[in-house]
Amino acid sequence: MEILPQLFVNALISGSIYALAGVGLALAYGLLRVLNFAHGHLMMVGAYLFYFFSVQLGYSLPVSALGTAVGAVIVGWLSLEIFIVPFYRYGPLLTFITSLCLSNILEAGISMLFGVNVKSLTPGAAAQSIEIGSVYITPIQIVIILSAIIILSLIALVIHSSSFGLRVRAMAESPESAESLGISRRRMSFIVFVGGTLLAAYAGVMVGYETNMQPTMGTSYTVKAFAAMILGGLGNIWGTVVGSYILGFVENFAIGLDFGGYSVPAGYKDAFAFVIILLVLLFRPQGLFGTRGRKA
Amino acid sequence: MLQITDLHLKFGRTSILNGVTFSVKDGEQLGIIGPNGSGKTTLFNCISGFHLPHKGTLSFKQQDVTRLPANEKARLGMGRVFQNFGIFREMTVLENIVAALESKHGRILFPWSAQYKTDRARAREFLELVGLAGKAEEKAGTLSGGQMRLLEIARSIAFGADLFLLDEPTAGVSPKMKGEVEGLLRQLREMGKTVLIIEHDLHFIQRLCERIVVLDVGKVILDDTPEVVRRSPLLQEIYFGAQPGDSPK
Repeated sequence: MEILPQLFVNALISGSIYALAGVGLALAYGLLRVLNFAHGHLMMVGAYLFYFFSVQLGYSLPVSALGTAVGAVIVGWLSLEIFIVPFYRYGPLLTFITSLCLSNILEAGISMLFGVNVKSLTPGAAAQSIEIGSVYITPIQIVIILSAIIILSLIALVIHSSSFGLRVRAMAESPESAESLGISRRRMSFIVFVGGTLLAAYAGVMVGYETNMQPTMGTSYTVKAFAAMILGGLGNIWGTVVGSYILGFVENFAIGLDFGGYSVPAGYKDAFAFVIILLVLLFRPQGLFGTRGRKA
Repeated sequence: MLQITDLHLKFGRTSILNGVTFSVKDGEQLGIIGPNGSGKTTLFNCISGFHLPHKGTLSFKQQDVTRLPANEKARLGMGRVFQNFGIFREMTVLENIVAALESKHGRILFPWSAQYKTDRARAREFLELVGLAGKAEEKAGTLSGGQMRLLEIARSIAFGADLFLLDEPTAGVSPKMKGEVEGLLRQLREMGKTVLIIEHDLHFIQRLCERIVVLDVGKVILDDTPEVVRRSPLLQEIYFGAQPGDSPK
Protein backbone atom coordinates (compact mmCIF):
# COMPACT_ATOMS: atom_id res chain seq x y z
CA MET A 1 0.00 0.00 0.00
CA GLU A 2 3.08 2.28 0.20
CA ILE A 3 2.82 2.60 -3.56
CA LEU A 4 -0.67 4.13 -3.45
CA PRO A 5 0.38 7.83 -3.08
CA GLN A 6 2.82 7.42 -5.98
CA LEU A 7 0.15 5.80 -8.14
CA PHE A 8 -2.23 8.61 -7.21
CA VAL A 9 0.27 11.26 -8.38
CA ASN A 10 1.08 9.32 -11.56
CA ALA A 11 -2.65 9.11 -12.27
CA LEU A 12 -3.01 12.87 -11.78
CA ILE A 13 -0.17 13.49 -14.26
CA SER A 14 -1.66 11.20 -16.92
CA GLY A 15 -5.17 12.53 -16.29
CA SER A 16 -3.97 16.14 -16.62
CA ILE A 17 -2.40 15.47 -20.02
CA TYR A 18 -5.49 13.59 -21.24
CA ALA A 19 -7.75 16.39 -19.96
CA LEU A 20 -5.76 19.10 -21.75
CA ALA A 21 -5.94 17.09 -24.95
CA GLY A 22 -9.54 15.94 -24.50
CA VAL A 23 -11.09 19.36 -23.86
CA GLY A 24 -10.23 20.55 -27.39
CA LEU A 25 -11.74 17.39 -28.84
CA ALA A 26 -14.93 17.84 -26.78
CA LEU A 27 -15.22 21.50 -27.79
CA ALA A 28 -14.82 20.63 -31.47
CA TYR A 29 -17.50 17.96 -31.19
CA GLY A 30 -19.84 20.12 -29.10
CA LEU A 31 -19.69 23.04 -31.50
CA LEU A 32 -19.00 21.54 -34.91
CA ARG A 33 -20.18 17.94 -34.46
CA VAL A 34 -16.72 16.93 -35.65
CA LEU A 35 -15.08 13.74 -34.36
CA ASN A 36 -11.55 14.90 -35.04
CA PHE A 37 -9.41 11.79 -35.34
CA ALA A 38 -6.38 14.02 -35.96
CA HIS A 39 -6.59 15.63 -32.51
CA GLY A 40 -3.75 13.55 -31.05
CA HIS A 41 -1.73 14.27 -34.20
CA LEU A 42 -2.19 18.01 -33.66
CA MET A 43 -0.78 17.34 -30.19
CA MET A 44 2.19 15.56 -31.79
CA VAL A 45 2.72 18.46 -34.22
CA GLY A 46 2.80 20.86 -31.24
CA ALA A 47 5.49 18.78 -29.57
CA TYR A 48 7.61 18.73 -32.75
CA LEU A 49 7.14 22.46 -33.36
CA PHE A 50 8.49 23.11 -29.87
CA TYR A 51 11.33 20.64 -30.50
CA PHE A 52 12.15 22.49 -33.74
CA PHE A 53 12.36 25.91 -32.05
CA SER A 54 13.95 24.93 -28.74
CA VAL A 55 16.29 22.06 -29.66
CA GLN A 56 17.03 22.40 -33.38
CA LEU A 57 17.13 26.22 -33.52
CA GLY A 58 18.17 26.64 -29.89
CA TYR A 59 15.76 29.45 -29.07
CA SER A 60 14.88 30.37 -25.51
CA LEU A 61 11.74 28.99 -23.82
CA PRO A 62 9.53 32.08 -24.39
CA VAL A 63 10.52 32.38 -28.07
CA SER A 64 10.01 28.65 -28.62
CA ALA A 65 6.62 28.80 -26.88
CA LEU A 66 5.57 31.75 -29.05
CA GLY A 67 6.81 30.05 -32.25
CA THR A 68 4.95 26.86 -31.29
CA ALA A 69 1.75 28.80 -30.57
CA VAL A 70 1.91 30.63 -33.92
CA GLY A 71 2.68 27.37 -35.73
CA ALA A 72 -0.19 25.57 -33.95
CA VAL A 73 -2.62 28.36 -34.89
CA ILE A 74 -1.59 28.09 -38.56
CA VAL A 75 -1.81 24.26 -38.57
CA GLY A 76 -5.19 24.38 -36.75
CA TRP A 77 -6.58 27.00 -39.12
CA LEU A 78 -5.44 25.14 -42.26
CA SER A 79 -6.79 21.84 -40.88
CA LEU A 80 -10.17 23.46 -40.20
CA GLU A 81 -10.43 25.19 -43.58
CA ILE A 82 -9.23 22.26 -45.71
CA PHE A 83 -10.37 19.15 -43.85
CA ILE A 84 -13.40 20.20 -41.80
CA VAL A 85 -15.34 23.26 -43.04
CA PRO A 86 -15.99 22.01 -46.61
CA PHE A 87 -17.43 18.76 -45.19
CA TYR A 88 -19.17 19.40 -41.86
CA ARG A 89 -22.52 20.17 -43.43
CA TYR A 90 -22.62 16.51 -44.56
CA GLY A 91 -22.46 15.10 -41.02
CA PRO A 92 -19.94 13.71 -38.54
CA LEU A 93 -19.00 10.60 -40.53
CA LEU A 94 -17.49 12.51 -43.43
CA THR A 95 -15.42 14.81 -41.20
CA PHE A 96 -14.29 11.78 -39.21
CA ILE A 97 -12.91 10.33 -42.46
CA THR A 98 -11.32 13.61 -43.59
CA SER A 99 -9.72 14.02 -40.15
CA LEU A 100 -8.40 10.46 -40.50
CA CYS A 101 -6.75 11.61 -43.77
CA LEU A 102 -5.36 14.64 -41.94
CA SER A 103 -3.90 12.44 -39.20
CA ASN A 104 -2.00 10.37 -41.78
CA ILE A 105 -0.75 13.46 -43.60
CA LEU A 106 0.50 15.02 -40.34
CA GLU A 107 2.20 11.81 -39.25
CA ALA A 108 3.87 11.33 -42.64
CA GLY A 109 4.89 14.99 -42.83
CA ILE A 110 6.52 14.98 -39.38
CA SER A 111 8.24 11.64 -40.13
CA MET A 112 9.75 13.11 -43.29
CA LEU A 113 10.84 16.33 -41.61
CA PHE A 114 12.16 14.97 -38.31
CA GLY A 115 12.66 11.23 -38.89
CA VAL A 116 10.88 8.39 -37.12
CA ASN A 117 13.24 8.01 -34.15
CA VAL A 118 12.18 8.83 -30.61
CA LYS A 119 13.05 12.36 -29.50
CA SER A 120 12.96 14.17 -26.18
CA LEU A 121 12.82 17.78 -25.12
CA THR A 122 15.63 17.12 -22.56
CA PRO A 123 14.46 19.24 -19.64
CA GLY A 124 17.72 18.92 -17.70
CA ALA A 125 17.11 19.95 -14.09
CA ALA A 126 13.37 19.75 -14.66
CA ALA A 127 13.72 15.96 -14.98
CA GLN A 128 15.34 15.52 -11.55
CA SER A 129 12.89 13.94 -9.12
CA ILE A 130 11.99 15.61 -5.89
CA GLU A 131 11.04 13.42 -2.93
CA ILE A 132 7.91 14.56 -1.11
CA GLY A 133 7.07 12.02 1.61
CA SER A 134 6.87 8.68 -0.17
CA VAL A 135 6.21 10.30 -3.56
CA TYR A 136 8.76 11.09 -6.25
CA ILE A 137 7.80 13.84 -8.65
CA THR A 138 9.73 15.98 -11.15
CA PRO A 139 9.29 19.75 -11.53
CA ILE A 140 7.85 19.26 -15.02
CA GLN A 141 5.23 16.87 -13.59
CA ILE A 142 4.26 19.54 -11.03
CA VAL A 143 3.95 22.00 -13.92
CA ILE A 144 1.69 19.55 -15.80
CA ILE A 145 -0.69 19.10 -12.84
CA LEU A 146 -0.81 22.78 -11.85
CA SER A 147 -1.09 24.11 -15.41
CA ALA A 148 -3.96 21.70 -16.12
CA ILE A 149 -5.80 23.00 -13.04
CA ILE A 150 -5.19 26.64 -14.06
CA ILE A 151 -6.04 26.16 -17.77
CA LEU A 152 -9.17 24.10 -17.07
CA SER A 153 -10.33 26.65 -14.46
CA LEU A 154 -9.84 29.47 -16.99
CA ILE A 155 -11.83 27.53 -19.59
CA ALA A 156 -14.59 26.99 -17.00
CA LEU A 157 -14.64 30.73 -16.27
CA VAL A 158 -14.81 31.64 -19.96
CA ILE A 159 -17.42 29.04 -20.93
CA HIS A 160 -19.76 29.45 -17.96
CA SER A 161 -19.34 33.05 -16.85
CA SER A 162 -18.33 35.17 -19.85
CA SER A 163 -20.36 36.55 -22.71
CA PHE A 164 -18.08 34.71 -25.12
CA GLY A 165 -18.86 31.40 -23.38
CA LEU A 166 -22.57 32.15 -23.65
CA ARG A 167 -22.14 32.54 -27.41
CA VAL A 168 -20.20 29.26 -27.62
CA ARG A 169 -22.94 27.47 -25.68
CA ALA A 170 -25.61 29.07 -27.85
CA MET A 171 -23.85 27.94 -31.04
CA ALA A 172 -23.29 24.43 -29.65
CA GLU A 173 -26.93 24.01 -28.70
CA SER A 174 -28.70 25.55 -31.70
CA PRO A 175 -26.50 26.88 -34.52
CA GLU A 176 -29.44 28.32 -36.49
CA SER A 177 -30.82 30.22 -33.49
CA ALA A 178 -27.36 31.49 -32.63
CA GLU A 179 -26.86 32.72 -36.19
CA SER A 180 -30.23 34.48 -36.06
CA LEU A 181 -28.79 36.42 -33.10
CA GLY A 182 -25.91 37.62 -35.24
CA ILE A 183 -23.36 35.08 -34.00
CA SER A 184 -20.99 34.01 -36.77
CA ARG A 185 -20.68 30.24 -37.01
CA ARG A 186 -17.50 30.54 -39.04
CA ARG A 187 -15.80 32.79 -36.50
CA MET A 188 -16.86 30.64 -33.54
CA SER A 189 -15.65 27.49 -35.33
CA PHE A 190 -12.28 29.12 -35.95
CA ILE A 191 -11.84 30.25 -32.35
CA VAL A 192 -12.92 26.95 -30.81
CA PHE A 193 -11.02 24.68 -33.23
CA VAL A 194 -7.83 26.71 -33.16
CA GLY A 195 -8.13 27.10 -29.37
CA GLY A 196 -8.47 23.31 -29.08
CA THR A 197 -5.38 22.90 -31.31
CA LEU A 198 -3.40 25.24 -29.03
CA LEU A 199 -4.41 23.18 -25.99
CA ALA A 200 -3.45 19.99 -27.82
CA ALA A 201 -0.08 21.51 -28.79
CA TYR A 202 0.57 22.47 -25.16
CA ALA A 203 -0.33 18.93 -24.03
CA GLY A 204 2.05 17.59 -26.71
CA VAL A 205 4.92 19.74 -25.42
CA MET A 206 4.25 18.48 -21.89
CA VAL A 207 4.39 14.88 -23.15
CA GLY A 208 7.66 15.72 -24.92
CA TYR A 209 9.12 16.89 -21.61
CA GLU A 210 7.55 14.22 -19.42
CA THR A 211 8.43 11.20 -21.57
CA ASN A 212 9.43 11.42 -25.23
CA MET A 213 7.89 11.91 -28.63
CA GLN A 214 7.69 10.22 -31.99
CA PRO A 215 5.54 10.75 -35.09
CA THR A 216 3.33 7.75 -34.25
CA MET A 217 2.32 9.07 -30.82
CA GLY A 218 -0.72 10.89 -32.24
CA THR A 219 -2.97 7.85 -32.65
CA SER A 220 -2.44 6.73 -29.06
CA TYR A 221 -3.40 10.14 -27.67
CA THR A 222 -6.34 10.47 -30.06
CA VAL A 223 -7.72 7.15 -28.79
CA LYS A 224 -7.22 8.26 -25.18
CA ALA A 225 -8.92 11.60 -25.78
CA PHE A 226 -11.80 9.76 -27.49
CA ALA A 227 -12.05 7.32 -24.57
CA ALA A 228 -12.19 10.23 -22.10
CA MET A 229 -14.84 12.02 -24.16
CA ILE A 230 -16.97 8.91 -24.68
CA LEU A 231 -16.71 8.13 -20.97
CA GLY A 232 -17.73 11.65 -19.96
CA GLY A 233 -20.33 12.16 -22.69
CA LEU A 234 -19.81 13.20 -26.32
CA GLY A 235 -19.15 16.92 -26.58
CA ASN A 236 -19.47 17.42 -22.81
CA ILE A 237 -16.37 19.36 -21.74
CA TRP A 238 -16.54 18.67 -18.03
CA GLY A 239 -17.57 15.08 -18.57
CA THR A 240 -14.46 14.73 -20.75
CA VAL A 241 -12.26 16.23 -18.01
CA VAL A 242 -13.65 13.77 -15.44
CA GLY A 243 -13.30 10.97 -18.01
CA SER A 244 -9.64 11.95 -18.56
CA TYR A 245 -8.81 11.65 -14.89
CA ILE A 246 -10.74 8.38 -14.56
CA LEU A 247 -8.72 7.00 -17.51
CA GLY A 248 -5.50 8.19 -15.86
CA PHE A 249 -6.45 6.47 -12.60
CA VAL A 250 -7.56 3.22 -14.27
CA GLU A 251 -4.34 2.98 -16.31
CA ASN A 252 -1.97 3.72 -13.46
CA PHE A 253 -3.68 1.70 -10.75
CA ALA A 254 -4.23 -1.30 -13.03
CA ILE A 255 -0.56 -1.61 -13.94
CA GLY A 256 0.79 -0.46 -10.56
CA LEU A 257 -1.20 -2.67 -8.18
CA ASP A 258 -0.51 -6.26 -7.41
CA PHE A 259 -3.65 -8.44 -7.67
CA GLY A 260 -2.83 -11.44 -5.42
CA GLY A 261 0.48 -12.13 -7.11
CA TYR A 262 -0.71 -11.08 -10.54
CA SER A 263 -0.14 -7.69 -12.13
CA VAL A 264 -0.90 -6.21 -15.52
CA PRO A 265 2.28 -5.59 -17.57
CA ALA A 266 2.95 -1.89 -18.28
CA GLY A 267 2.87 -2.63 -22.00
CA TYR A 268 -0.92 -3.11 -21.75
CA LYS A 269 -1.47 0.40 -20.39
CA ASP A 270 -2.79 1.78 -23.67
CA ALA A 271 -5.35 -1.03 -23.97
CA PHE A 272 -7.45 0.39 -21.14
CA ALA A 273 -8.67 3.24 -23.34
CA PHE A 274 -10.14 0.71 -25.78
CA VAL A 275 -11.67 -1.32 -22.93
CA ILE A 276 -13.32 1.84 -21.56
CA ILE A 277 -14.67 2.80 -25.00
CA LEU A 278 -16.18 -0.68 -25.43
CA LEU A 279 -17.71 -0.85 -21.94
CA VAL A 280 -19.22 2.64 -22.13
CA LEU A 281 -20.65 2.07 -25.60
CA LEU A 282 -22.14 -1.21 -24.41
CA PHE A 283 -23.64 -0.13 -21.11
CA ARG A 284 -23.99 3.68 -21.14
CA PRO A 285 -23.62 5.03 -24.69
CA GLN A 286 -24.39 8.62 -23.63
CA GLY A 287 -21.43 8.54 -21.19
CA LEU A 288 -21.38 9.24 -17.46
CA PHE A 289 -22.56 12.85 -17.71
CA GLY A 290 -23.88 13.03 -21.24
CA THR A 291 -27.39 13.67 -22.43
CA ARG A 292 -28.67 12.84 -25.86
CA GLY A 293 -28.64 16.50 -26.85
CA ARG A 294 -25.59 18.57 -27.72
CA LYS A 295 -23.70 20.46 -25.04
CA ALA A 296 -20.69 22.69 -24.74
CA MET B 1 -38.68 47.41 -45.59
CA LEU B 2 -38.41 44.14 -47.57
CA GLN B 3 -38.56 43.59 -51.32
CA ILE B 4 -38.51 40.05 -52.71
CA THR B 5 -38.09 39.87 -56.48
CA ASP B 6 -38.35 36.75 -58.65
CA LEU B 7 -36.89 34.42 -56.01
CA HIS B 8 -36.01 30.92 -57.24
CA LEU B 9 -34.59 28.03 -55.24
CA LYS B 10 -33.92 24.42 -56.18
CA PHE B 11 -32.90 21.42 -54.08
CA GLY B 12 -31.18 19.18 -56.60
CA ARG B 13 -33.59 19.05 -59.52
CA THR B 14 -36.65 19.93 -57.44
CA SER B 15 -37.80 23.53 -57.66
CA ILE B 16 -39.04 24.78 -54.30
CA LEU B 17 -39.45 28.49 -55.05
CA ASN B 18 -40.48 29.50 -58.55
CA GLY B 19 -40.23 33.25 -58.85
CA VAL B 20 -41.67 34.58 -55.59
CA THR B 21 -42.22 38.33 -55.74
CA PHE B 22 -43.80 40.61 -53.14
CA SER B 23 -42.86 43.50 -50.89
CA VAL B 24 -43.49 44.37 -47.25
CA LYS B 25 -43.92 47.92 -46.00
CA ASP B 26 -42.40 49.32 -42.85
CA GLY B 27 -44.59 48.42 -39.83
CA GLU B 28 -46.80 46.05 -41.82
CA GLN B 29 -48.03 42.68 -40.47
CA LEU B 30 -48.22 40.23 -43.33
CA GLY B 31 -49.54 36.68 -43.20
CA ILE B 32 -48.16 33.92 -45.42
CA ILE B 33 -50.32 30.86 -45.92
CA GLY B 34 -50.29 27.87 -48.23
CA PRO B 35 -50.58 24.09 -48.13
CA ASN B 36 -47.76 21.87 -46.84
CA GLY B 37 -44.86 21.84 -49.28
CA SER B 38 -45.80 25.18 -50.84
CA GLY B 39 -42.40 26.64 -49.90
CA LYS B 40 -43.33 28.88 -46.94
CA THR B 41 -40.53 27.83 -44.57
CA THR B 42 -38.03 27.62 -47.43
CA LEU B 43 -38.97 31.19 -48.34
CA PHE B 44 -38.22 32.24 -44.74
CA ASN B 45 -34.90 30.36 -44.90
CA CYS B 46 -34.04 32.30 -48.07
CA ILE B 47 -35.05 35.64 -46.61
CA SER B 48 -33.13 35.05 -43.37
CA GLY B 49 -29.99 33.72 -45.10
CA PHE B 50 -30.06 29.99 -44.30
CA HIS B 51 -30.54 29.15 -47.99
CA LEU B 52 -29.00 31.00 -50.94
CA PRO B 53 -31.47 31.58 -53.78
CA HIS B 54 -30.44 30.45 -57.25
CA LYS B 55 -32.04 33.45 -58.87
CA GLY B 56 -33.76 36.66 -57.80
CA THR B 57 -32.98 39.40 -55.33
CA LEU B 58 -33.76 40.33 -51.74
CA SER B 59 -33.63 43.90 -50.60
CA PHE B 60 -33.88 44.83 -46.92
CA LYS B 61 -33.92 48.46 -45.75
CA GLN B 62 -32.96 49.55 -49.28
CA GLN B 63 -29.89 47.30 -49.23
CA ASP B 64 -29.25 44.25 -51.41
CA VAL B 65 -28.98 41.34 -48.96
CA THR B 66 -29.44 38.44 -51.41
CA ARG B 67 -26.08 36.79 -50.72
CA LEU B 68 -25.61 37.79 -47.07
CA PRO B 69 -25.28 34.96 -44.49
CA ALA B 70 -27.87 34.60 -41.71
CA ASN B 71 -25.79 36.21 -38.96
CA GLU B 72 -25.15 39.34 -41.03
CA LYS B 73 -28.83 39.66 -41.95
CA ALA B 74 -29.68 39.32 -38.26
CA ARG B 75 -27.30 42.19 -37.48
CA LEU B 76 -29.17 44.35 -40.01
CA GLY B 77 -32.38 43.75 -38.03
CA MET B 78 -33.95 40.51 -39.24
CA GLY B 79 -35.34 38.38 -36.39
CA ARG B 80 -36.29 34.75 -36.90
CA VAL B 81 -38.66 32.70 -34.76
CA PHE B 82 -38.41 29.03 -35.68
CA GLN B 83 -41.23 26.53 -36.07
CA ASN B 84 -39.58 24.01 -33.71
CA PHE B 85 -38.76 26.43 -30.88
CA GLY B 86 -35.31 27.95 -31.41
CA ILE B 87 -34.63 28.69 -27.75
CA PHE B 88 -31.48 27.51 -25.98
CA ARG B 89 -33.03 24.85 -23.74
CA GLU B 90 -29.93 24.12 -21.65
CA MET B 91 -29.57 27.79 -20.68
CA THR B 92 -31.71 29.62 -18.17
CA VAL B 93 -34.58 31.79 -19.40
CA LEU B 94 -32.55 34.88 -18.42
CA GLU B 95 -29.45 33.67 -20.28
CA ASN B 96 -31.51 33.29 -23.47
CA ILE B 97 -32.21 37.03 -23.43
CA VAL B 98 -28.71 37.94 -22.22
CA ALA B 99 -27.25 35.99 -25.18
CA ALA B 100 -29.17 38.32 -27.52
CA LEU B 101 -28.13 41.51 -25.70
CA GLU B 102 -24.46 40.50 -25.49
CA SER B 103 -24.34 39.35 -29.08
CA LYS B 104 -25.79 42.70 -30.12
CA HIS B 105 -22.97 44.77 -28.60
CA GLY B 106 -20.41 42.03 -29.24
CA ARG B 107 -18.21 42.79 -26.23
CA ILE B 108 -16.45 40.11 -24.18
CA LEU B 109 -17.78 40.49 -20.64
CA PHE B 110 -17.06 38.81 -17.32
CA PRO B 111 -19.17 38.87 -14.12
CA TRP B 112 -17.16 41.79 -12.74
CA SER B 113 -17.87 44.02 -15.80
CA ALA B 114 -20.42 46.82 -15.26
CA GLN B 115 -22.02 46.04 -18.65
CA TYR B 116 -22.47 42.39 -17.57
CA LYS B 117 -24.77 43.50 -14.74
CA THR B 118 -26.53 46.07 -16.96
CA ASP B 119 -27.30 43.39 -19.56
CA ARG B 120 -28.86 41.15 -16.91
CA ALA B 121 -31.00 43.98 -15.57
CA ARG B 122 -32.20 44.82 -19.08
CA ALA B 123 -32.87 41.14 -19.80
CA ARG B 124 -35.24 41.06 -16.80
CA GLU B 125 -37.14 44.01 -18.32
CA PHE B 126 -37.70 42.03 -21.52
CA LEU B 127 -38.87 39.05 -19.47
CA GLU B 128 -41.32 41.34 -17.63
CA LEU B 129 -42.68 42.36 -21.03
CA VAL B 130 -43.63 38.77 -21.85
CA GLY B 131 -44.58 37.74 -18.30
CA LEU B 132 -41.65 35.38 -17.77
CA ALA B 133 -39.72 37.34 -15.12
CA GLY B 134 -40.73 34.79 -12.48
CA LYS B 135 -39.03 32.05 -14.46
CA ALA B 136 -35.76 33.91 -15.12
CA GLU B 137 -33.52 31.39 -13.35
CA GLU B 138 -35.29 28.26 -14.62
CA LYS B 139 -33.93 26.20 -17.48
CA ALA B 140 -35.58 27.31 -20.71
CA GLY B 141 -36.20 23.66 -21.63
CA THR B 142 -38.70 23.36 -18.76
CA LEU B 143 -41.04 26.05 -20.17
CA SER B 144 -44.33 25.20 -21.85
CA GLY B 145 -44.64 25.54 -25.64
CA GLY B 146 -46.36 28.92 -25.36
CA GLN B 147 -43.78 30.24 -22.91
CA MET B 148 -40.96 29.08 -25.20
CA ARG B 149 -42.58 31.00 -28.05
CA LEU B 150 -42.90 34.15 -25.95
CA LEU B 151 -39.25 33.81 -24.89
CA GLU B 152 -38.11 33.40 -28.49
CA ILE B 153 -39.99 36.51 -29.61
CA ALA B 154 -38.71 38.46 -26.58
CA ARG B 155 -35.16 37.42 -27.50
CA SER B 156 -35.58 38.86 -31.00
CA ILE B 157 -36.98 42.09 -29.53
CA ALA B 158 -33.96 42.28 -27.19
CA PHE B 159 -31.62 41.77 -30.14
CA GLY B 160 -33.24 44.79 -31.77
CA ALA B 161 -34.95 43.14 -34.72
CA ASP B 162 -37.06 45.41 -36.94
CA LEU B 163 -38.41 42.62 -39.15
CA PHE B 164 -39.81 39.49 -37.47
CA LEU B 165 -40.09 36.25 -39.44
CA LEU B 166 -42.43 34.05 -37.38
CA ASP B 167 -42.78 30.48 -38.59
CA GLU B 168 -46.03 29.05 -37.18
CA PRO B 169 -45.91 30.91 -33.86
CA THR B 170 -48.95 29.05 -32.51
CA ALA B 171 -47.71 25.53 -33.34
CA GLY B 172 -47.40 23.48 -30.14
CA VAL B 173 -49.02 26.26 -28.09
CA SER B 174 -52.04 25.72 -25.82
CA PRO B 175 -55.25 27.71 -26.59
CA LYS B 176 -54.71 29.88 -23.50
CA MET B 177 -51.11 30.72 -24.42
CA LYS B 178 -52.17 31.32 -28.01
CA GLY B 179 -53.96 34.43 -26.73
CA GLU B 180 -50.76 35.62 -25.04
CA VAL B 181 -48.73 35.09 -28.21
CA GLU B 182 -51.36 37.05 -30.14
CA GLY B 183 -51.18 39.83 -27.53
CA LEU B 184 -47.41 40.03 -27.91
CA LEU B 185 -47.72 40.22 -31.70
CA ARG B 186 -50.14 43.14 -31.25
CA GLN B 187 -47.53 44.81 -29.07
CA LEU B 188 -45.00 44.35 -31.89
CA ARG B 189 -47.35 46.31 -34.13
CA GLU B 190 -47.56 49.08 -31.51
CA MET B 191 -43.75 49.13 -31.40
CA GLY B 192 -43.78 49.74 -35.16
CA LYS B 193 -42.14 46.40 -35.97
CA THR B 194 -42.67 44.71 -39.32
CA VAL B 195 -43.93 41.12 -39.01
CA LEU B 196 -44.22 38.22 -41.47
CA ILE B 197 -46.21 35.29 -40.08
CA ILE B 198 -46.47 31.80 -41.54
CA GLU B 199 -49.55 30.22 -40.02
CA HIS B 200 -52.10 27.53 -40.76
CA ASP B 201 -54.75 29.09 -38.50
CA LEU B 202 -56.47 31.46 -40.91
CA HIS B 203 -58.57 33.09 -38.16
CA PHE B 204 -55.39 33.91 -36.21
CA ILE B 205 -53.84 35.51 -39.31
CA GLN B 206 -57.05 37.41 -40.14
CA ARG B 207 -57.12 38.98 -36.69
CA LEU B 208 -53.50 40.16 -36.91
CA CYS B 209 -52.62 40.90 -40.50
CA GLU B 210 -53.82 43.52 -42.90
CA ARG B 211 -52.55 41.54 -45.88
CA ILE B 212 -52.13 37.87 -46.75
CA VAL B 213 -49.86 36.26 -49.34
CA VAL B 214 -50.88 32.78 -50.48
CA LEU B 215 -48.14 30.47 -51.74
CA ASP B 216 -48.63 27.33 -53.77
CA VAL B 217 -45.88 25.22 -55.40
CA GLY B 218 -43.37 27.97 -54.74
CA LYS B 219 -45.37 30.79 -56.33
CA VAL B 220 -47.47 33.66 -55.03
CA ILE B 221 -51.00 32.91 -56.22
CA LEU B 222 -52.83 35.52 -54.14
CA ASP B 223 -51.76 38.74 -52.45
CA ASP B 224 -54.65 40.68 -50.95
CA THR B 225 -56.61 41.62 -47.84
CA PRO B 226 -57.70 38.80 -45.48
CA GLU B 227 -61.33 39.27 -46.52
CA VAL B 228 -60.59 38.87 -50.23
CA VAL B 229 -58.26 35.93 -49.64
CA ARG B 230 -60.80 34.13 -47.41
CA ARG B 231 -63.49 34.34 -50.10
CA SER B 232 -61.24 33.39 -52.97
CA PRO B 233 -62.13 30.13 -54.74
CA LEU B 234 -58.40 29.69 -55.38
CA LEU B 235 -57.86 29.22 -51.65
CA GLN B 236 -60.55 26.51 -51.54
CA GLU B 237 -58.92 24.81 -54.47
CA ILE B 238 -55.37 24.68 -53.15
CA TYR B 239 -56.46 23.48 -49.71
CA PHE B 240 -59.26 21.12 -50.66
CA GLY B 241 -58.49 20.27 -54.29
CA ALA B 242 -61.18 19.92 -56.94
CA GLN B 243 -64.71 20.84 -55.86
CA PRO B 244 -67.57 18.30 -55.86
CA GLY B 245 -69.02 18.16 -59.32
CA ASP B 246 -65.73 18.92 -61.06
CA SER B 247 -64.95 16.37 -63.68
CA PRO B 248 -61.79 14.37 -63.01
CA LYS B 249 -58.91 15.19 -65.33
